[in-house]
Amino acid sequence: MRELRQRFLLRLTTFITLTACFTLLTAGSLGLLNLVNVLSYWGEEIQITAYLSAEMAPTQIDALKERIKSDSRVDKVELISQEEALEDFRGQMASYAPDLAKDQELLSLIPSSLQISLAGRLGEPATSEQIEDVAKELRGYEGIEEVRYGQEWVQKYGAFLTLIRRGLFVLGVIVALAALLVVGNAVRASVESRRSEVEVLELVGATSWMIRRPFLVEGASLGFLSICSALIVSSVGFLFMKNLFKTELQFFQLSSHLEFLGPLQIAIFLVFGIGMGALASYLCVRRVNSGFAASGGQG
Amino acid sequence: MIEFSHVYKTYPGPVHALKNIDLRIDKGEFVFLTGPSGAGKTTLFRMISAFDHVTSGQLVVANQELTQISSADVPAFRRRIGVVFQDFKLLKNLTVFQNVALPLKVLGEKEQNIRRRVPDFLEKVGLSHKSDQYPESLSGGEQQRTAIARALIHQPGVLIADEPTGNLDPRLSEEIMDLLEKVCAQGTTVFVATHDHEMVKRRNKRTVSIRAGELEGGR
Ligand SMILES: Nc1ncnc2c1ncn2[C@@H]1O[C@H](COP(=O)(O)OP(=O)(O)OP(=O)(O)O)[C@@H](O)[C@H]1O
Ligand SMILES: [Mg+2]
Repeated sequence: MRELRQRFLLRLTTFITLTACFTLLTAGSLGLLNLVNVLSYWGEEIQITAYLSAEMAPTQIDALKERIKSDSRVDKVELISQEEALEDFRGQMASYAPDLAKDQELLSLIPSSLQISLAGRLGEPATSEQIEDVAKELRGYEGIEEVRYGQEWVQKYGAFLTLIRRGLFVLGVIVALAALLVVGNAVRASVESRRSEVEVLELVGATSWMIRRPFLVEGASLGFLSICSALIVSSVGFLFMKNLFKTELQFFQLSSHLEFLGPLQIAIFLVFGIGMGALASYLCVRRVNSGFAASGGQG
Repeated sequence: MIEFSHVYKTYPGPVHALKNIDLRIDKGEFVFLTGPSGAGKTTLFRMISAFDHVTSGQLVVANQELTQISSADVPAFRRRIGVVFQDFKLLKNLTVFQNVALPLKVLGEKEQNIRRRVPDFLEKVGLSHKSDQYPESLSGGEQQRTAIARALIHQPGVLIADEPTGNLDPRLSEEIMDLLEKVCAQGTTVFVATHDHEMVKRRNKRTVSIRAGELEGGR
């Protein structure tokens, strides 16, 4: 009875530890997924503005426009003429500073510009670097005075995403190792407590597969249960967060952009959990029986 | 059939447990093995059951060459033999019934066949009433009979029994020996180690004796 209790306790602690490990991973992936979602939603607004020098003739502007458009990374190029820019500026300023809006001299300083939308969206892996590349090239073009695209914002979020992705990968590796250790430990204890049983099974002619199977099943089911409960824990956390964005953080208007892991990702996690459990057991029981019972006999 | 030729077994030490063993036991033969404690009886049986490798020489059991048997071939070989161990080797977390059923399970026998054959055998060894008990609650003799039933349930071609009557009273010993003779009559090769010289005399069977790792008295 004590033995059974100990075995149960060991399995329980293994299950809890493994669930904690796996939850880190599922919650991390979920966070990343939604971060990318939110950023690409915000990222739609991101465009490059190229301010044109005042000396540009309309034909030159058209040529420049065509040249930029021919870049495969560029989706749309739109000319905001000086008049349109003025119009916009007036509209924006009229209510704040009516006097300023009438100052013709100041208004004439507003240049015409090209609004360039890129094909990708921010939040997708390559995009932030792409924006920078395109901006750099634009700076080199004749007739372009200045290029603006919210540099810092784009750079920071790009770097941030890369960091999170790398962190998640490292976390994945650590979790995999931890899972191997934790499950391996439980299975080894289980093998140890059943050593005499293994010996007898060998002696009546059980194949190594028959002997190992229960241990593999034990490891795989530990992995399966743990990854399931990790998914449940993260979905509960997810629903909580989503609800928070619906009520208290409604301001951000993000709740409709939050989504849970898709079926494919869930399947991958299930396979990962089961696989880690089974692999750990396999590594432990690979040498549990060698065909000849290893232990010594009696007098 | 069991055939030893020039078999040596040396344990680290070195302990020369078996020295130049030459022995041939034909199919369907009944042979006793006697010898003082520490003479090498269990060692001899460990070789026959592929429990351990011989150090040198040749050993063939039930048409299986054991000298160089690969680990992968051992399970199939063990399913063709039956072994009664001196220390029984019962699984304490299984009932008598389940222990006896083990070789059939390993052979992949159907559940209904198992439910039919195991009680038959338990009756033969007089353990029907203990079918659902665990080994720990059995007497030494009852454990021994469980081990004998387990060794015979799958009708092995070769049966080796290391002191199968060591814990039994004279009446039970006779019954078990009768059972082993019956099994032998049905074609199984039976090789029994024992200290019971009275019984050996009464049974009047071929007897080999071993002393300090060497067979005595020819044959
Ligand atoms: N694993 C081992 N390592 C070293 N020496 C061993 C080992 N097994 C057996 N021996 C030695 O081999 C010799 C023969 O032992 P064995 O168990 O075969 O005797 P036995 O005839 O079965 O005795 P008993 O009648 O008491 O059962 C003994 O001297 C024993 O100490
Ligand atoms: Mg012995």
